[in-house]
Amino acid sequence: MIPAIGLLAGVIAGLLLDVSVPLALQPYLPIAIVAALDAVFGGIKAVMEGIFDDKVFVVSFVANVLIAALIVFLGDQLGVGAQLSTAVIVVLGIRIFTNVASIRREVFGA
Amino acid sequence: MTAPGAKSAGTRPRDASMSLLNNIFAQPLEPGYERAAQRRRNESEDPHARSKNRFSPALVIGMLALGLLLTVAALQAQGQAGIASAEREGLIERIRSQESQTERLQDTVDELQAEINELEDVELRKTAEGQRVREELQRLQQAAGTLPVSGPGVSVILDDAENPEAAERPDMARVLDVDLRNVVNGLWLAGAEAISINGQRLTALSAIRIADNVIHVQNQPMRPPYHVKAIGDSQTLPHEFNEGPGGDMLRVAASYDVESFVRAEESLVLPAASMDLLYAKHPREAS
Repeated sequence: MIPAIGLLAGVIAGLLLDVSVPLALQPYLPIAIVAALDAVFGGIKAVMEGIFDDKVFVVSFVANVLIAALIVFLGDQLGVGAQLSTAVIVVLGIRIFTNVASIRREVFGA
Repeated sequence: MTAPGAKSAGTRPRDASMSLLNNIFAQPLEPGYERAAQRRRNESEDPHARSKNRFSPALVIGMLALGLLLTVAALQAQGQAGIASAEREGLIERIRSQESQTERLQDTVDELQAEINELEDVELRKTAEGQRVREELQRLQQAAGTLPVSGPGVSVILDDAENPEAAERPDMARVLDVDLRNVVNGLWLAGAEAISINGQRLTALSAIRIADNVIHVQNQPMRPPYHVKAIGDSQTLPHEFNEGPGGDMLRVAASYDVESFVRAEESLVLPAASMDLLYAKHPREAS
């Protein structure tokens, strides 16, 4: 419940604060979000399995976001930014799906 | 949750070549969580002792950051779409206004040109010498295509085969620029004095060429059917044309299902061509 309130607070803060992302960082924003989603769902699943760990969560969250952005940045420099973005989205997307699927199994038992 | 690696035990699985994807599917969770839990288990007998506080501040902060990121990205995407569409609208607006301005200016040019012609006419009519010059001028302008002409003649209609895809040679079942050129040249040879294609008067500078499967006459795109109108002696012109290379071309084209139709006309009106002559300039003058 409290994490959900945190999410809501984040959304409201985003709406109220009117943060604008610098132009140079804009291509990495969607990738960063997918990476963050992956870390968050991984964390939720760990909570449900009772093996959640603060340090692992924070490190995986920050590292995921940074590495995903770095991969895309490198790709942009090498001229394969779009392809590497796709690669990151595919890998993280599969992980998100599998994590959410097992969360769903634990919550609904189906 | 099966332990990762349990799958790979035993014989080599059939989908070993897809080990990367299998790895992602089998190990969706950060292995770090498992390892941390293992470590705790080693340190204390009760592994759930510390993880009792499920709502850790880290998770809340993570969710907060995620919400913030999501909102910012969504707002950014919306803002960008708005800017892009507004820019496009602005460009379309500018194109429209420029087009209408061009049209207005072209109208002015036409008006002024008509006025010049009229004044020329009036001045030349005044003297006998002028009268002679005027007739000469009209004759030359008609030949050059800068004056509308009317009179008897012949019209040739060319059209693609009804279903070119079904023809034996689909590429030959369409009217090509070569066909139109041959028809036009055949008409000149048969004694035509002025020719137009779909309302475009042909001059000595006209080009008939195909680009992207569209025939352009004087850089104006044309659509089939092509109405080629020629002014000349309506008694001899159709016959001469049919007997000459133009008629031969039509007969060859007909064997590929291209439809064509030649008809003598009692009265045809051909418009004037808009001609912009380019003059060579001395380099010192031009700069």
